[in-house]
Amino acid sequence: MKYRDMYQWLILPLLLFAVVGLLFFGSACESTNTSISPPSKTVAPGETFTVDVLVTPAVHIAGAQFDLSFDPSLVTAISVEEGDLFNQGGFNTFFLPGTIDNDAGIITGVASVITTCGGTMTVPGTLATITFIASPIEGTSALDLTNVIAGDKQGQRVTVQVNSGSVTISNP
Amino acid sequence: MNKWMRLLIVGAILSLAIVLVPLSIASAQEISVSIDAPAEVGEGTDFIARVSITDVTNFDAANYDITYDPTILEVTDVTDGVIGGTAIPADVWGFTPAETQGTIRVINNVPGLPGVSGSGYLAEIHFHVVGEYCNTSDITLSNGVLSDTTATAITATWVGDSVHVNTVLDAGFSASPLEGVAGVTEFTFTDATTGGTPSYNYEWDFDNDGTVDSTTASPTHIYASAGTCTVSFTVTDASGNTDIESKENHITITAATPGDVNSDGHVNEEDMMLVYDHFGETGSPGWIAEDVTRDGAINVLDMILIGQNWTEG
Repeated sequence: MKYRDMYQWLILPLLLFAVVGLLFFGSACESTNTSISPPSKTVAPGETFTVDVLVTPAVHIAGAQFDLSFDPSLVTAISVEEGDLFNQGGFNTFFLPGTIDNDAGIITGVASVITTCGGTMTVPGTLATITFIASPIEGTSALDLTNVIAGDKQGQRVTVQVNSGSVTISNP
Repeated sequence: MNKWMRLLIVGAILSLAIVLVPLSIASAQEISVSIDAPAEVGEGTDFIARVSITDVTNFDAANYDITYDPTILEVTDVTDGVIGGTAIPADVWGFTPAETQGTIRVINNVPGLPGVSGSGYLAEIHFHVVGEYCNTSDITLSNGVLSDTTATAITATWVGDSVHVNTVLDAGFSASPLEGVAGVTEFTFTDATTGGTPSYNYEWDFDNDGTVDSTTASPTHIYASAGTCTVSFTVTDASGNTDIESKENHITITAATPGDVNSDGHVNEEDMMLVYDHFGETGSPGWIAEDVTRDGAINVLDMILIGQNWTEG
């Protein structure tokens, strides 16, 4: 009876935990992470600053895209420049800086792909660097990544995990 | 016989006359023998004109003359007719005068039968058109006699016809472009048919596999696979004339290069920019060439396929 009780109250829950844990962490580990770096930042009013959009591939990817929204009353996007993500392997790339809309507070269609046949990337890197100017007023603007898509060399979408960020404008 | 009795008899006779005379006229008018020829015939073509008959009873024999303009038409043969499912021999015919085009005499005889009733045709007259464009020839019936199985004449109305000579139906078409990419290039086929009698019916067989692919005058077509295709185009005019234009190995289709959005044989920045122009758009899968992945959305995945098939730079 003792062993049966042990089996019921210890072994079974452990097995269940292990299965759930494998499913959860297994899927999470297969997601290509796209994030704002640094995730939060404090800048002075009127300061020009940059944030990076980092990509940590979980599988071989050959291209990625994103949109980035922000509070246009607090920050103004100046430029979008290509990062080193897909250049790391010496690959040629094609980069779309997207379209900045400072009225709506969004940058749409930023994308980069490898244009070397068969080229893929698994090393983390910066997809794009965005330059902003902080407004004279204090406040916090979310930097939300949306419409994030990454694909493998067959043009098939891979699973992505998105971590947005924020910037706080504060007098020193 | 008093006055009232005489009036009664005269009235009865008049009544009978009023009833019977129109009946006899009506029965005579119901039988019609007519030439049924196409209104339009092509230069140099052959056509058939039927000697049609309606509502005949106990028909046994007939003879009639058919007159036409010998500078426009020539009779080449006369073949049997059919009334009510029974063949009507028309093997006795000849030119009048002999061996001279212009008039033929046809004799039908139904020997050994109890008479034929119904509607049909007495004979088919086979003509060849020797006239030119815009000529018109009347085809008339004359000296017609019909008789029944009692050798009694059957009264009939004899009606002629006419044919107008048109140009010969000549099916034709052009295609543009003549070379393209499978699944991408839209080929336009343009009808260039002349002659015959409008309007036309069209049958396009873009790959000559025997299946009609389109029935419109000037259709478009996208070939699914690479190859060289023979295009067959069949046109039928309003007179029933048909002509076929077939162009062998007319269209060359090459396999599509993934990512070659503008189908110029190169995968390069131009293709990327075409995708960029439609970036973010959605539609049915493959609705535009920029949807390289054919997933119904224009995004980085399409750019990836372009990048992976890059041929320049």
